[in-house]
Amino acid sequence: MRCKQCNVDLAETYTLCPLCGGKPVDEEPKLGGIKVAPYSQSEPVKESGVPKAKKNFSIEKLKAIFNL
Amino acid sequence: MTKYRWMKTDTASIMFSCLSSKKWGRTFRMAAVFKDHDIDEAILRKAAEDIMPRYPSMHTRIRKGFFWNYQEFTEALPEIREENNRVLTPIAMREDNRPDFRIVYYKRRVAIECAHFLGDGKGASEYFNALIMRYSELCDNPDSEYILTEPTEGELSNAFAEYYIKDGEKPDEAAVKAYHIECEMKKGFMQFIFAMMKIDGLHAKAKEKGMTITEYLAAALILGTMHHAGKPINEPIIIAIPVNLRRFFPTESVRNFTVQSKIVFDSEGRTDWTFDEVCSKIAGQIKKNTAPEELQKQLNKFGGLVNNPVLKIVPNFIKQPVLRFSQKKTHDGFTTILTNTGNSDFPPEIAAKIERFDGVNGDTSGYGLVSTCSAVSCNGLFSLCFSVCGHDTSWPKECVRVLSSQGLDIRVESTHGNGGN
Repeated sequence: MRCKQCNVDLAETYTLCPLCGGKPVDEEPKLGGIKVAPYSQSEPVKESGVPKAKKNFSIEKLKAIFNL
Repeated sequence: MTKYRWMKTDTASIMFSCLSSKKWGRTFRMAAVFKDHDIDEAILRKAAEDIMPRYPSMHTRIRKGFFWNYQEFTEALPEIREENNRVLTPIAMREDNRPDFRIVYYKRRVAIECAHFLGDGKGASEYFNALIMRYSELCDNPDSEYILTEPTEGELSNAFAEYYIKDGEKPDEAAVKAYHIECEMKKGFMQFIFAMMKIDGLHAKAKEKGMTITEYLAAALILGTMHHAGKPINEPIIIAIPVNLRRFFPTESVRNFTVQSKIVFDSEGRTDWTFDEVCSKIAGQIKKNTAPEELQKQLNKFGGLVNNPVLKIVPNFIKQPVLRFSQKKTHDGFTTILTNTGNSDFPPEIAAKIERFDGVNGDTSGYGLVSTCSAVSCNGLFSLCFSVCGHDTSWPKECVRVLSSQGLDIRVESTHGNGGN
């Protein structure tokens, strides 16, 4: 597929040009041999069970906190 | 009890981390797309475990100190998960113990998304390349042993501090307000548009004009900006170009070691510039601005700021807003940022498996920049990514049209495949 307005190749799965929103035409790409690498359309899932950082009270941590 | 381990932030990280909050942080991403292989999470996790001891500076998280932020080492693996529809979300100050980067994958692509205070593109690419290589080795032979080489102290050093010259000459630059691209910004929404082209073709075009690839791309961004504005622009168009200082100041450090160089273009109120005219006007600027003595001045400027005895003893909660203000003022002087991390080289047996690399800048809305660019090449394919803080793709459209009008064959892909949602 190609967008004639932007003069670029698009993946065969694209029905609109990401740049201009125009409809691509079914033409051979000029830059061949690249397979589309799609992006996920899944919504983020809230993570569970993420371990919280342990509280650490030590001289070394005090040095870090008060480092100049 | 495990000994608490920490290190001071490097000089650039002081600037990056001052803008970080629970909701936003400066980030970037590197991605590799395999030719014929869907990523296996279990193997990816094993690869991340194996290489973790080799790259301790990546396995840190930013913490607030009383005077300065600092980086705390962690033995936890980063978040490793399948990608979702929100690519490169901010990596902000969190309460978990994981390092400030994540590894994500989707079908044939694997990526790392890093907080910029872990390191710059050069530093993070060492980790990412090692991850790809170890992953490939495990795919070929799950029982292969990882030969660990110990990290050196030099790799963890703050190279800014090593080369800072106290009372050294600083740049003599007045604050300039750059033209800012007029696109509607939508905070919290990012889309990424990739323009891919053959590196040989791009290199040939740049050479015809007597320019580097970076300058050639900057010319396209400048002309695209003028086309996008559609009216005379009074302020200069200024492209910030991060410069890898390791080329000029040798260091083993894998942390941040870049400064911003600039390409400045004054449109003189004209709207009828041709591409050739823009190229002629900006050719040679990068070479002039990256003379070692000019870069040394930049190092002295940053070093002078963080070594200022008064600033040192000011508590962090007062210092942070001051540094944040200074960062925003700095970015008032840029139209956009163009990061070119160069070519990613792999041994032939790994390169044969990889189709391409992508480099991506994260959300810069915190700086007031609506769109920035990042470029990288691998296996002869050059990938230029436009990071857009919103739905409006009109600026990347003009820039890509400038490039395609020069006879370059370009393929475009996007995280929001069908014209943006």
